[in-house]
Order: sequence, then C-alpha cells, then structure tokens
Amino acid sequence: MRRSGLVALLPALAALLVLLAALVGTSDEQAAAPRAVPVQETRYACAGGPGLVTGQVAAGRSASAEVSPGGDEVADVVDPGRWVRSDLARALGRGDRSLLVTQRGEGSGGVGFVTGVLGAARGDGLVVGRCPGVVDDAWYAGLGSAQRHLGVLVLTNLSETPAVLDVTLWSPEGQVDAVGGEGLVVEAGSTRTLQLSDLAAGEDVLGVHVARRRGAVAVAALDTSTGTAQGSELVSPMASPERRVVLAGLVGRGTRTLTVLNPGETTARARVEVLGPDGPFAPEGLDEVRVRPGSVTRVDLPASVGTGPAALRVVSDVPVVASATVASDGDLSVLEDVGAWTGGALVPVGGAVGEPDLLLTAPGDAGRTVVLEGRGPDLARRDRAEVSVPAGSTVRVDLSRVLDLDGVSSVLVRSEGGVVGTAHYTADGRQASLALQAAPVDVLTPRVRPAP
Amino acid sequence: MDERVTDEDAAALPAWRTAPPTVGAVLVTHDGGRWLPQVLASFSALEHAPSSWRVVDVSSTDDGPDLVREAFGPDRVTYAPAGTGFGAAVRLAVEAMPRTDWLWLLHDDAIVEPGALAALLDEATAADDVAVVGPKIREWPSLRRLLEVGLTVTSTGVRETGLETGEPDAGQHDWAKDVLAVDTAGMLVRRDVWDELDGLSPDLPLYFDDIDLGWRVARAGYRTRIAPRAVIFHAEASRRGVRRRAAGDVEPGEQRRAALHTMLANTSGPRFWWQYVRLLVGSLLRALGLVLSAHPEAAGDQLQAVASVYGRPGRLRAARRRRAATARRDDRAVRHLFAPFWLPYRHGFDTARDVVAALVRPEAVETTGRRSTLDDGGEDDVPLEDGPPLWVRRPWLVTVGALVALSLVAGRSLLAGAGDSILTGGALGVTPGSAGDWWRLWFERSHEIGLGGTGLVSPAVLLLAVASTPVWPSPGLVVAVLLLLAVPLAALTAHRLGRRLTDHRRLRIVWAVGYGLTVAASGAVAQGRLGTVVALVVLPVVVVTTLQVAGVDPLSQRASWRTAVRWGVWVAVGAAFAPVVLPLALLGALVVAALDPRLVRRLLLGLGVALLLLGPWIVGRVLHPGLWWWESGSLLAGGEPGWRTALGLVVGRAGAPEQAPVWLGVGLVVLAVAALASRATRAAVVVCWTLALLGLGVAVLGVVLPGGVPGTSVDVRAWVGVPAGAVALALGTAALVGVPPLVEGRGRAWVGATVLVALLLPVGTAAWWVVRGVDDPLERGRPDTVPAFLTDRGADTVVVTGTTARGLEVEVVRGEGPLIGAEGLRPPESSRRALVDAVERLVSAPGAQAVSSLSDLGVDAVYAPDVDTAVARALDAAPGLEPSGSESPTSRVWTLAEPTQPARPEAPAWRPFLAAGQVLLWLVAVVLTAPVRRRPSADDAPPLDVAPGGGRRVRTDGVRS
Repeated sequence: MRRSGLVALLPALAALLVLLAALVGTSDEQAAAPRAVPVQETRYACAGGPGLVTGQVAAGRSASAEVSPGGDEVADVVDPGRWVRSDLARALGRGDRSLLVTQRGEGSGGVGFVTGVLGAARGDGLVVGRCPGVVDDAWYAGLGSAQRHLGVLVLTNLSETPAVLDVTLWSPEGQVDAVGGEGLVVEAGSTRTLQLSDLAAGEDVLGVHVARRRGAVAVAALDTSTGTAQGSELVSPMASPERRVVLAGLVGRGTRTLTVLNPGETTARARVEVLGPDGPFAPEGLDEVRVRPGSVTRVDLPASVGTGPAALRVVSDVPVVASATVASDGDLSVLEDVGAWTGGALVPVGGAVGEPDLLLTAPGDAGRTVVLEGRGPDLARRDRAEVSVPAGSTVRVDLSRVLDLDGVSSVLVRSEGGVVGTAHYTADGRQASLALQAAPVDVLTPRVRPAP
Repeated sequence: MDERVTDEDAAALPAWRTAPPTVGAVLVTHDGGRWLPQVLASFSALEHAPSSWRVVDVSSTDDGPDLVREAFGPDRVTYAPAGTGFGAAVRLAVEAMPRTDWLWLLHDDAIVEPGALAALLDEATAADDVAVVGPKIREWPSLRRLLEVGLTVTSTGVRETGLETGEPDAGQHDWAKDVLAVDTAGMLVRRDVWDELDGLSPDLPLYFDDIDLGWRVARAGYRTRIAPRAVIFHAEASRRGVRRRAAGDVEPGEQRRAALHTMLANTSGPRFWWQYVRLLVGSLLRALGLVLSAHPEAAGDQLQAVASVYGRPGRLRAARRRRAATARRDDRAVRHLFAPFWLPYRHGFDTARDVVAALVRPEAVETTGRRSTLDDGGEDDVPLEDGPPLWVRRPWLVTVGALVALSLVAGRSLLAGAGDSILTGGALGVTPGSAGDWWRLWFERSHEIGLGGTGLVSPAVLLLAVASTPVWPSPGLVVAVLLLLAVPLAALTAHRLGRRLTDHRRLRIVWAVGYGLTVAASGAVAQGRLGTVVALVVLPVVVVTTLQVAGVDPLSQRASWRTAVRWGVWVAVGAAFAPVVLPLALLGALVVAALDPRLVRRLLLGLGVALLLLGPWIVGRVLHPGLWWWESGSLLAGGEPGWRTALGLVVGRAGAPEQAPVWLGVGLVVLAVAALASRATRAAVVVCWTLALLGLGVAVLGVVLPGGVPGTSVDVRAWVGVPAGAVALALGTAALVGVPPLVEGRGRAWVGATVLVALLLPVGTAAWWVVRGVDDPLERGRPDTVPAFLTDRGADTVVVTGTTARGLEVEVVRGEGPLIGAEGLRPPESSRRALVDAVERLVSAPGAQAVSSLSDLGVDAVYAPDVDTAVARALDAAPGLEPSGSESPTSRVWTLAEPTQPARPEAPAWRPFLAAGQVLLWLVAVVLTAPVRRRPSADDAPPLDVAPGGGRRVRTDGVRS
C-alpha cells in the first residue's frame, strides 16, 4: 500500500512540474525604452537672413563651416568654445546658398541662429530663426504663395548623397495638386530655394508638409508679406499634427490670425483657449473652429483674446497643425508650436536683435520654474535667475530686468519640461519671435543591442 | 562462344565416349574429415569414373587420412608436410600417378554429381583449344544456391563470380561459355597444357591459383570453358573459415596478397604500371576504410599483403618473366574475359546497401547484394520457397520503407527547387557549397563570420564534415537526409533500443514509430532545428549504450571499459549538436549509478571521454549555462510560456508553433501512468518514470529560467525540444515495458482499448505529419538573411531589426550568413561593443564619425529588413551612407560610400593542431569502440545438414569439429 502511494507520487510530481512550467514561464518580450545619449556632432544649415550667431551650451571639440554648394570653408563664423556673431550674407554671397556648420563635442549642444532685417523685397522684417538640422517632417500652417504673401523653403542637403523630399500643400479649398512637389530632389551638398508659388500660385494661405523621403536635408521656411501687413519671419515647423497645439508668444496689438491645417480625412472641430497671465479662458467667438478635411482655415483672433502676454491652446478632435500670425504696422511675427523643451534652450541676446522678452507658458496643470542664465561670449555664466510660471498661465519676462545682461551674448533657459516659450524680439518697430527649443545636448536613441 | 545447353545436346552421345580420354583425378585433403564421408560417397556414384586416382593429404590431424585410405587404399595416398599449398600438393600427385590426358582436381569439401565428369569431358573434347573446363558449383549445404559458373577478376583485384548472393540455381546460367578461370574444385585441365604452363603457381598456395592459371591459359592461346551440366557442391571451407586451422596453414591474410600478386604478375604492357600504383593506393585506402569500419584484422591483412608484394619486387619480376615465357597473346586479346570496369563501383553500392540493410537487420536477417568473395555468407539453410507476405516476414523492414515513403510525402515541398537551392529557414544555418567548407571551418584560425571571429566551433562541424565527405560537392544531401528522414532515422535508433526492452515485435515497432514521429511532431524539423533532430535520433542510442555500460543489455557482450567509452562517444555526438544532451546523459548516469554504485568509475570514464571529445568548446557552454539550450543552428526562441508549452513537455513538444496538437499524446501519458500499476515490471517502470521526471525537470528549468546569451542583453526563451523528447522516450518506454503484462490474460475489450490508445500517438501524429508537411519556416531556396545583391558583395552587412520604442538589435552578417555549425560563433567582444556604439550614434545623431566607425569595422552595408521609420530616416541622414535598392517595400538598404577592409582577428597558430588532435581523438574513440568484426572460425560453424543428389539428406551431427 505504502509502495503504491510512492509510485503514485511520480505522476503527481510530473503534474507539479507541468504546473510550474505553465505558471512561471518566462517571456522574452522585453521593451527597451529609448534612452538619452549625448550628442557627439551637430550639423545644421543657416540661410534666409543677413546675420549669423553660432554657439553652444558647453565648449565642443571642433567646429567648422562651409558654403553649400561648393564646400568652401568659411572661417571665423563658428568657434567650439565661443559665441560668435558674423555676417552671414557676406559669407554666402548671392544665389541659393546655405552655410553648413558642423560642431563636434560630447553633449556640447551646438546651435546657430539666423538674425537680422531682411530687404524690402522680402518684407523688410526682423527675423530670428534657429538654423535647422536634418528634418524628418516639417508641418507649417499659414504660409502663402500669393504675390504679396509668399512662403519660401530653403532646402539644404547636408550629406554626400542626393536627398528626396515630398512637399504637400493644402489651401482653404482642399489639397493642392502641386506639380513637382513629390519626389523633389536636392542634389548632394547643394541648396535649393523653393518658392511655394512655384508649386501652387495665388494662395494667400497654405498648409505645407515637407517630408524627407531619402537623404539628409534641412528645411528652413521664410514667410514674407509685402502687402498691407508687411514683414517677414523665419518659421519653425511642427513635427507632426497634434490634437493639442499650444502657440506661445502672443503679445501686442495688430492683426492677429489663427491658421489651422487639417490634413486628415474628417472635419476637425477645434476650440481655442487663451492661456493668459491670469490663467486660461475661452475667448468669445472661438468656441468652435471647423476645418474641413484636407484643408486649411484662417480665422481672425477676436479682441476678446486680449493683448497678452498669452498663448493660444487649440484643442481639436483630430490632429491639426496651427500657427498664429501677429501683423503690426511694421512687421509680422509667427507663433508656432515646437513643443515643450527639456534641458537648455539658447536665446541670442544683443547685437542687431537686441534683448528679447521671454513669453513662457505652462500649459499643463502644474506650475513650472525655469532657470535663466546669462552667458558671455566665452560661454561663461554671468548671471542667473529663476522664473515661476503658474499652471495654465503665461508670463512675460523682461530679460534686462531679471538678469544683468552686461557682456551677455546668450541666455540659456533651463526647463525640466512642461513649459513652452518664445523669445520675442523687437527692434525699430519690427518684431520677430523665436520658439524656444532645447539645444541638442542629448538625444533620445533607441536601445541598441547585439542580436543574440 | 556461349552455347545454350539443351536436352538434345544432353541426349546426343559425344564422340569421346567411343574412345574415352584418360583422366587422372587428384583429391587434396587437409583436415577435411568433416566433409569427406559425403565427398567420398559422391565419388563412388560417378557415372564416368576417372582412369586413376591420387590423394594427397596435407598433414591432416583429423580422421580424414583414415577415410581416404579406406576409400582408395593406402598406396594411392601421398602425404605432404604441413604448409604445402594446393598447387604443390597437386604437383606431388601428378608426379606420383601415371600420365593421363586430363587431370581432374578435387577438394575434400566438394561433392560431385554423378554425371559431373562426363559432362566436363563433353565440353573438354568439344574443341582442340579447350584446355580447362570447370563445373557449375553450388553451395553446400544449401545445395540450391549458385556459387560459381566461372570466375573472373575485377581491376581492383577482387575475385568475381557475376552472381547475386544467394542466387538459386534455376538453370539461368546453363550456358557453356568461355570464362577467364574456373575454381580448382572440379577443374578438368589438359595434361599437356598443365605441363606447358607448369601447373598451378607455387607462389599461390591457396587463393587465386585458379584465376592465375586461367589467366595464363588464356594468354597462352587456350580456352577455359564452363560446363554447366557438370555440377559439384562446394562447402568453401577455407574461404568461410570453417576449416580448422593447423600449424603451417596459409594465413587468412594470404588472400589479399594472392590477389595483388596475381594481378601484378599477369597484367602486361603499360597497364601494368597503372595497376601497380592503383592497387597500392587502393589497398592503403581500403586498409584505412577497414580500420574505420572496425575490421582491424582485415586491415592488417591488407597492409601485410602490400608489404609482401611490393616489398619483394624480385619475386614479382620472376613471376612476370615466367608468365611472359608462355604467353602468346597480350592482355587486350583476353580483355573480354575480365569483369567490366564498373563492377568495383557496383560493389561499393552494394556495401552501402548492406549498411542500410544492417540497420533494419533486427527484423530482417537475410541480406542481399552481389556476390563476391568479400561476402561472408552464413551457413543457414534458409528456405527459398515463397513464404508469407513481406510485411509479415519482415514487418520492421516494411515499416521503415513506409516511413521513408511518408517522409518524402511530408517533405514534398522541400524535395526539389532551383539549381542552387538548399534547405533554409528557421534555425537552420547556411549549407556550405562543399564538404571542404566544413573542414575549413573546423581547422581555420579566423572564421568567415561578420566582424570576424576566432571562437571554437562545435564538434558537430567535424561530424558534419566527415558525414559529407563522401558527397563532397553536395553537403546539402547530409542535411536533407537528417531533416527529411528524421522520422525513420529516429525510429530506427528507437527500434534498436526496443529490441533490448521487449520481445513483442509489433509492440516495439509501434513504440519505435511513435518515438520517430515525436521528432516531427515537436516541430523541430519544420523549424530547421538540426541539433534537436540529431540529438533525438541519437538519444535512444545513448540509452542503449547506457544499458551496455550497466551490463543489462541482453543483446550485447559483457560490459567493459570499451562500452563506457562507447557511451561517452554517443553522448559526445548528441551533445555536439545539442549540448543539453550532456546534462541529460549525466542525470541518466546518476540514476544508473544509484542503482549500481559499482558502475560509477565506468560512467566517469565515459563522461571523461565525452568531455575530451567535445573539447574546449564545451568549456564555453559550461561557463555560461544559458548556452546549454543553444543547439546547432541559429538561436531561435522556444515556445511561448503557458499551458500549451507546459502540457506539451510530457509528450515531446516544446511549444513550437509548428508542433502537432498536444492531445495526440494523451494516449502516451495514459499508458505510462497505467504501466505503474504492473507489479511484474514496476521496478523498470519506476526507473523510466524517474528518468522522465529528470528530463521534465530539465525542460521545466529551461521554460522558467530566462535564457540568454553572454554578451547580449537579449533574453531568448530556451528551446527545450531535446529534454521534452527525452521525456516522451522515457514515458513511452515505461508504457512499452509496463503495459503488456497488465493486459495479458484479460479480455479482448481490454486489449482492444489498449491498442486503440497506443495507436493514437503514431497514427494520429503520422496523419498530422503527412498532411501538414515539414516545411514552413523550413523551405527550399536561398537564405534571405540579407538581399542577394549584398550577398554577392561578400562583405559584412549590419542587419538592424526592431523598433525605436522597443529597441534595436544588430548583427553583422557576412555573405548569406553563418554556415551550419558556425551559428554559435561570435565576433570579439570589443568589435561587438564598437558595432553597438556606432549604430547607436548612427540612429541618434547621424554623423560622419558614426559611419566611419562602421567602416572601420569592415562593414559594407546596413540592411533593415522591416525597418522602423524613425530608424530609416536617421540612417538616411547619415553622411556616407548611400541608399540602395531593397527587395521589399518595408526593407531598406544602405551601402557605405567608402568601406574598408580591416584586419580580421586570428586565433593562435596552434589552433589547427588542436583541431587535428580532436580529429585524432574522435578517430581513436570510434575505432576503439565500434563493434569489431572478426574472421569466422571453425568453432562458429554449424553442423552440416546436407542433401546431395537432390533428395538424400545426411545428418552428420557426429562429425568432429
């Protein structure tokens, strides 16, 4: 009897082992989230303005600049250890040209800005725009292809192989059949300036999507207006359509419009909120902005929006692209959504562009604090200040009040996320806005591991 | 010259009858007392008797001399000293007897038919140039099988009869015809020609003297004829080794020496030198083959023969001079009497067929094949009449045939493809272009893998190289046979084990087939898991050798150190393909040692041998237990966790998507549990269950522990197909041993139900197997690891898989990918780190430096088979990476604008010597442990049971042996 019991143990043990295997089995499904790694090399293209400012968050190892096309090296426009102002127009000369800047260094965060006042043919406006690096997707709302409102794309190939782009346009009537917009080739090491009127003439308002299909190409967009509202602006793109778009930097009076692009296939119903100094509110007349599928719509911002400082929050039921334009007497500025940044965003200060105001918005439910550092040409910190941004509010920071800007060439605005912002420049009645983006100190990269 | 012998011919009275020629009969005896009573009796029944008789007894120590003295009288007997050859004995007789027209040579182990001499004379007197006539020789004691109707020799020096082994005599060769030679048993030779040629050569005391004489006769311008109406029955006592040996007898190795001597002494003209070299090389190769096939004595004979013939050129020269003196025709004139050139190759084929036949021998005792003197036919008097159908007589042979046929049906989509197509897909690596690639992989210091590597390869490479050497340009054949015929191969080895376990023939066939099908049912074949397949085929052999080590194998010799070494060899073979075989065998050995502690030393010896054969490669596996699961082949994840995988473990499944339904194995589990109820076999069943639990434990360990490969952060679910197969084998064995006693004596309902349950696994699985097939992911084609145009570049390609969100995996592939056996090789850790670093930089912030790092590693291209958009864009943006064509919409390829060729790492210079040493170890181990075939001895001879004359049966149980 006892022996039989022992024998019966054998199948029981087997069953136990099977149970163990069924319940404790492992899986090799492992998510490996991307991680931040220091950027070793930044490469960007500068074009579209007369002046150039280059610099970095921390000193790099090396830096060089060359003209595209041609590859002629340009001296004294970039220094891995300093903040440098130079004459971009003189360096480039005439024609479709860009300046390619390569900066190397571990996490040094090299950036460049195009600055200055453009000629009368290009709106006679003040521009301050960051030199773009390789772009995957660039979405714009509010450019034009009319005689007096013209958007220009400066496409610079950063590599030694041809780049291929697709440019898609939307008008208020729907998608524009842009001949030549698909499969646009930018030859290796060259720069191509593309006026949107070449693709679709006569549209006062356009939505634009530039998609890189092959190669490495930088895209800079210049919005010029030579009509009643004169001015020019280097426009930063949105990376992708979003359901929530926050356009920071609304300030001042003038003709203010909101342009919304709906590239989707269903009508977008968007409501607009104003994130003012005292918190968010819904302005009258913007309860619902309807945008037909595959079209772009421009609406005037009512007076109820106020004169700022404020940010516009567009909340849509489908992903959209939006921008806001403020056209005053002498110039226009364009507000874009480049997202909240984490880390340090560099703002050029002094010289032709003067000292900007920062318009910082915390669109979320929590208040945020940003740290401002005034830095000299040698990248050394000269002054420091902290600014609190209440939740759902916008604050205007007069840099000259919070920092001693004597000998300061740039301001590093540090944020731990949750804040969007714009540097608003004014000079001689002209204005420009620069969306704050983190300097490329580190980058999220997929986890790479050797295959087993 | 061939003439059909008809009844009319037989009825006509030949001219010689009116004036019969004189015939002197010479009988040579040597310890032939065993056969002489029947032989002498047959002489007395001759219709036409010789004119005179002479007997030469060569130093017999049995009752032979008494018998011949009694039969012929003492004055007709000549006594020759020990060591006197047949030719010399005949010479003594000829000198002592009156001159006659013809000499008739007789053996003491050959019975003559009453009409034999008359029929010989009929043929001998038919033409003036007929000098030698021989009878049709049938086998004694079967009496019905043909042994010879004339002789010739192949160009490799093999005596050839032109008959099939066991070919019965139905008159199919009854043509009188010219032949090169006839056997000396019953040979009728013209006396004047005998004198002219000086009789049988004294250089050939026993073997090949007949061929040599016939050759000389032909070159002298005479003819040798076969007289099929003259019949004798020959026991071939010397050739079969059944004649008791005595001091002074010709050594067995003399046969090969005689062959070489005959060939070289008689071949004339320029052909002599060709034969001289060919026979030397051929003999050495043959000796090597005999060593490898465990025929040490035969190998020794070969070498001794070579030394004797080639080491004494003077004797050969003298022999050639003597033959040249009597030759009137050159070799070309007698060429038609020799065997066709292709016959040696036909013999090679027959040998291979015999090997296959030997595998199914357990249920099929008879062998077939072309008869030559290399055959060692038995003396069993096997009835030749039609019996029951083949499937009744040889069920196992029929079963194996059916399994092979079903395997071909199941592998229908993998049998044919484009010219250069190979089996590929799943875990299967790339089949090399020739066996040489595997040999190169085994010996080389720097491996042709992505980024280069110097790691040690598994001994599986050596085994594959050896196996594919006979089919040098088509090593894919070996892979195809192993994978497509996995089921019959596993069934064959299981059946060998089954013979040790039960006497129930049909039960063990069902059991063996069930196990064989387990291999296919596990999905291992469809997944191209060569390691699992080989391991599961080998597993039953490991069990058999374990039984031998334990001394409980009823079919084997006594356990010895040799059996322990054999166990180690088979464990090494299995572990070379699937390392997990080693711990499994170890656990099995522990069980055996627990049952009989005296076996510990023997098992330790076996384990040591296994480790020695596996060499330093196994050290890497020991140090990284995660690698135990990585078998020969690419690292392919095992089954998904859950009930499907867990339940499958007890019936030989490991959770592969391609496995058979688990419920098909329910019968196996039911029977295995039921087997525990049998008191009579409980001990054996409990041992089986213990082994099954240990196997299950190993399998469960693989399932629950995270698997992984050192140097990577990637966990791969372990594939536990081999331990699961071991569980199925053990449970099946428990059922095989334990269930029959349970149902014996019970009603038909019990038996019927048991049979139904038992057949569920083999029949159900076979149906599933044939319907599903064994393809997918295994397929026939070219590997598609990288696009073909990159393969043609022959350079290193980085293959990037995964997504940004979940992470990317990178590996570097050279050409089409690693060869079978090289999948486990890894590049140096520093290269892998550099690769990961470069790709990380490339996909994060593409720059010239990252591309340059790739180039420095020797990478030529980047391939993303199912690319993530973000990754593709990042790579697009990298300067120095040029987008290239891809083969599918979702894949992308970039090539480096400026690839470089960095120096590859190289292993130390002693690495090839280490590899050679391991080859030597394997060779020694295999030769030492293979079953040794020895020459049959007189002690093995069964008693005679003869029926000469077609009706008289004479029992000779009393004959002294």
